[in-house]
Amino acid sequence: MSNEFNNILKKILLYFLLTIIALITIGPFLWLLSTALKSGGENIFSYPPSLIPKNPTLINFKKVWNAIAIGRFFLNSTFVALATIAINIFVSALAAYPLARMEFKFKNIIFYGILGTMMVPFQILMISIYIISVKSGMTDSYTGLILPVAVNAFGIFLLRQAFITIPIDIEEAAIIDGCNSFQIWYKVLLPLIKPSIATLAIFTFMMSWSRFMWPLIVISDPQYYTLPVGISYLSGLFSSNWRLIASGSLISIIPIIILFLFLQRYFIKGAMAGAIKG
Amino acid sequence: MKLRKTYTPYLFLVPALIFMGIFLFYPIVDVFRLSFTNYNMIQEASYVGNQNYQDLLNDPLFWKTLKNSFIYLIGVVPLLVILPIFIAILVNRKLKGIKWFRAAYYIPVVTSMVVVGIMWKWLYRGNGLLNYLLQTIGLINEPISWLTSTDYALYSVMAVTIWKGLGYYMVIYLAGLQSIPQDLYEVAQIDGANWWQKHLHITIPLLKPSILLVTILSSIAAMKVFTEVYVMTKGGPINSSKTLVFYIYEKAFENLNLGYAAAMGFVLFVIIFILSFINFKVLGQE
Amino acid sequence: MSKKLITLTLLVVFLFTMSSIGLAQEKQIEFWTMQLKPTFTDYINGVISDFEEENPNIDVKWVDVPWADMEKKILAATAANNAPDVANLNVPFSMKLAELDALVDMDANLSDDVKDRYFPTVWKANTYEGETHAIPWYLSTSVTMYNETIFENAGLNPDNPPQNYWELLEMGRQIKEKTGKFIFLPPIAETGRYMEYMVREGIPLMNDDGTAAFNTEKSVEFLQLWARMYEERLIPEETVTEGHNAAVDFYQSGQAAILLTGPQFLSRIEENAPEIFEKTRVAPEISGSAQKVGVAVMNIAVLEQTEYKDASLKFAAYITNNENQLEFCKLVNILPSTKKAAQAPYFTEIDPNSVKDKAKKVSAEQLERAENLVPPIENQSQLNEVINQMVQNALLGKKSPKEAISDAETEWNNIMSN
Repeated sequence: MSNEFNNILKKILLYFLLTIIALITIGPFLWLLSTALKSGGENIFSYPPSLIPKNPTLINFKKVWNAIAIGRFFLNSTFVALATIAINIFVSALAAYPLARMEFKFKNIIFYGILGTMMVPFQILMISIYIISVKSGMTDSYTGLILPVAVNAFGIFLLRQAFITIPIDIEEAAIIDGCNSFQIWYKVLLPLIKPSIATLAIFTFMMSWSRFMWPLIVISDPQYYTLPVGISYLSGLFSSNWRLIASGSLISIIPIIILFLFLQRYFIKGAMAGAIKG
Repeated sequence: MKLRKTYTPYLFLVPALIFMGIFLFYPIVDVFRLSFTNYNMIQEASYVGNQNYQDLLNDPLFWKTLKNSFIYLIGVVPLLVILPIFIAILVNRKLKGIKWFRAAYYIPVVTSMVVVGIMWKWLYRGNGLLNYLLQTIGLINEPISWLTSTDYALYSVMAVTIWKGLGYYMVIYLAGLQSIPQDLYEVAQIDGANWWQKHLHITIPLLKPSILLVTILSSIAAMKVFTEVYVMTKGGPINSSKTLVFYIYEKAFENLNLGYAAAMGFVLFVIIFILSFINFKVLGQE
Repeated sequence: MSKKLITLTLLVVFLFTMSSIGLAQEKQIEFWTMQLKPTFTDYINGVISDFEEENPNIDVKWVDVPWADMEKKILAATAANNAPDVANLNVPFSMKLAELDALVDMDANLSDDVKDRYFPTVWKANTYEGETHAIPWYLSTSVTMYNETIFENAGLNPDNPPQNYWELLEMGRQIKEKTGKFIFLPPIAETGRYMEYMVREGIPLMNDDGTAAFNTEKSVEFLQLWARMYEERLIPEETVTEGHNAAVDFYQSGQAAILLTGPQFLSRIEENAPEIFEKTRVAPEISGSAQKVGVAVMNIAVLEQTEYKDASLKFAAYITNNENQLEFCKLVNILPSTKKAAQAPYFTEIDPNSVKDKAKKVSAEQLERAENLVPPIENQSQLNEVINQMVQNALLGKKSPKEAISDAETEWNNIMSN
């Protein structure tokens, strides 16, 4: 058995496996896509189900753009997501460092207290958080969309675990070099946990992008509506058009996929390159 | 580890503690307070002592939904902790087009649960695509009542959670895999280790922090399941797919009994806390 | 110099005072609706600007909320003392708020000639213990829509659509045998609907003291009818978990022969399934042995939290007046809650070839006899849950209809006695 044959066989097997899994994850979306492409004359809910549109058209995507101010909602969602990412990464990275690397009084209480906040369902806290927002005049504003829900335990936990995997010698070397804690954090450690930061960025973006309950409650002025709230309008009382819903949903997925494709290289770059010898 | 100054750790923690203090700790305390009242969001709350807690102990639906949430936990967590490890290993390589496969696995994660729920509801219908396909290949003879049978509804919803979560945890593991030095694998290869041995003895131990993270996150998520149920079954039929958080939501927003909902929320919190504590102990602290 | 300064100062003070008086007189009321945008944006804006013209010191801010989320939003807003002044709500939610004294009593606060505008039966839909907590706005009565092709293929005469529930058993069997399709999806597991069905059938819901009255032989037979239809799969399995939306989907996809719903849904069918729309015919709604006709009511309520009660009441009365309602009905197939508007020739002059027009006529004709089938009851959401479980248990065969009803009776009485 030649080595090359083995390699090719291995590759085929790999692609086969990859494709099967891809079918499972993407399969259901084929219906979404086919619905979005179906023209007005075709019955969407026919049985047996038909995946191939008879007269495929792109007009539904155009219609969604006109039916609701989807451009504006897009911008709102993007702005809110980016601001949330910035705040969350900064605050979480700061907080994760001492929790991973330092010993101090109350450390455990603080850590478990922070974790504890993840354990209470948002549906219960929603009203209290809303009352606070109303009292501080944050309703119907970007501040209200961003601040109350920007920071959560997940980011802190994720980055804490990331800091833990860095070998202690690296930090000790920096201390010997005369760095203070902040410099260690900023110049040495942060660059080493880039994959986890990229992960947190994606997760935060996605979490913010898909938020529905919170924007619904804190915003009444449509100019601040985010995408999920805007799209829910498509399934309304008097006009429910599955084609538009499908198109709108697809439109809202695309930016995240693009972001994901872009951030992938941070996941995969050798984070430890050059830091470890032998 | 020598600290520069004793207050340094606190300095790092201050921004997070401010945010969480105002928007999380305070509301949690507030909700705890509300659990001792009969607050209905409209009128002034009045104190009822621990009546809510007594009531929930005698509430058969509380126990049923708690049981459903535990079934969720046991069914979903092991799969979401283990499967994504292997998917991450699979996609953690330089292969032509691998970028697209990774993105494909992530698509369920970024799709809103509402859309996912509607999509799967249609797939699960008596004469929906899933039954149609299974009957065509001959795997089943009669269509299965995925969402309309008290025996299957909960599991059908769980399947959707798993399907949606695979990519989510795959990404966490991918990041974790990056910190494992390649040389370790090369050494093992020279020593004659096969694929399974390599990953069992190198990857999994070194992924421990990520595994702990994923276990805790997926356990908490499993106990808090809400949106899937809301979109697909509303807890039916006959409460067979109703999770505790859905029941809490119903009590608060349908029956306007926020006090009782808060009490249940608190009990849930204690349960999750204990679970997480056990997780930490078992999977070890570094 | 100083004289000019004094004059200037006086002028400034004068202007300032005048403008603050003007500001003090400017009342801003917030009006929330359930998902009327984007279809009716122009209409509502038109009503608002007409109102503001007639009432220059009242400013109306319009907020439109996604259909399914109105309740959450209102509850959160009320909890934070941020509630709207006027809101468009459905009947069950109005009742929930009224139970907690959150709504203004219309009986006490509106003049008689305003109150007389509305159909008395519909006005009563919101009356509980001597107080009426909302004004009825737009209505819709259900019509029977059916697919004439399925009828023909099953050997049924499309000119003879079913008129009561009992006919559906035999018809359903025939349709299943000859075409394999369902007869329809009755939304009986959807909150509150089965109670309406029982009332249509003439089964009493409760006694004067609030205890359950639905445990009768007739009631058992009635539930048995649906259980049998479920067992024989004449109605889809989704009946037990899904409701009206699924009913529309099944009809649209040609899998069900009948759809019972308001005429406004014909537009949805026309858009999503034009081939089914072509085959659709309409008839009066299928009823039970008591031959009662139901009406779905949408309300306008004023919240107690409002700072501007008079302005809010004025707006509420304005938007539900004859002219504004008639204009609304011309935009979509709904009915007005006021007598004068309902008598307009618009509802009887139709194009006989348009199925939408025919539906409009049928639903308007039913309005005379229509009533809100289930009167406001306390603890409504818990009682609905009891009936819901009763139906689900019977359909799935977990309990016999007799057992299910008897258990429901016990639970109902438990709730009422607390």
